[in-house]
Amino acid sequence: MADNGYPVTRRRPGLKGREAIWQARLVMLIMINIAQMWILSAALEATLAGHHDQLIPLIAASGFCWLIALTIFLWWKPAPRKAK
Amino acid sequence: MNDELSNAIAKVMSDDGNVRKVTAPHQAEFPYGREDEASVTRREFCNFLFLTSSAFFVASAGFAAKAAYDARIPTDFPRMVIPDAEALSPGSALSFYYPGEHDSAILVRTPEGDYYAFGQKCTHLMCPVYYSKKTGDLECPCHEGAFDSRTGAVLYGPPLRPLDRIEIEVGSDGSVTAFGRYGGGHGG
Repeated sequence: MADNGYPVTRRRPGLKGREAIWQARLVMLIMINIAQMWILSAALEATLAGHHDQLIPLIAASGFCWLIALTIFLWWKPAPRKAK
Repeated sequence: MNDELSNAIAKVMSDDGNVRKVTAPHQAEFPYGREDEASVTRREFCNFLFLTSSAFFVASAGFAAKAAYDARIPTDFPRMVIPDAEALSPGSALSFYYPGEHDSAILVRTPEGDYYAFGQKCTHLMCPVYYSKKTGDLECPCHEGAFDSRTGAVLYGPPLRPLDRIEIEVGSDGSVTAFGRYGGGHGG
């Protein structure tokens, strides 16, 4: 037991780093989703208002966000555990 | 110290019991237990977020495709007699569709008896405008914009561009014929 009365939990070495990477993935994906939600609402407004010149930059921005999300989904993962 | 902790835990547990009792009807409809809350793993949630990101991108592209489709400018306009226009009394308006069946328009007859026709979609966010007998203007009820009923120009409010202008001619028998649609609104 620790000083504060809670039991002491022992973690495997390296687990903290993996947790941080998963947490970072999650936070970045949430931020990208929020940005894309804003872009989508702006695209809807531009469509309704007939501001067609704004749509190409908005789609490009949304596509860029999606590409980042794709790289996070495919590659930004913790390294596989080393075999003992 | 331990007694205080025990009391706090007992209070929380009793609150939890009350919450479950109060929300029992909802839990019967949506049986999702507290122990199931951890059933969505962080990995699954990340996958869901990526899917959401894809959906947002596709939706944005869809809006752009729709805008491009709507922005096609017809080169030739049919001549169309506006139904019931001859019976329109001064200081009133009627809605019709021109040139396509989805292109809403409004025909205004001023108190002086002159006819003017415009696209009915507000150039702000496409709400339909209506003729206000009180002011004699074309007003948008969504965001309180207004257009001149003789020129289609913006009088006040959020719209930046004038309404689409529809070319009309009045026949000797009082019928009103539309033969063109130009300007202010989409693609303008």
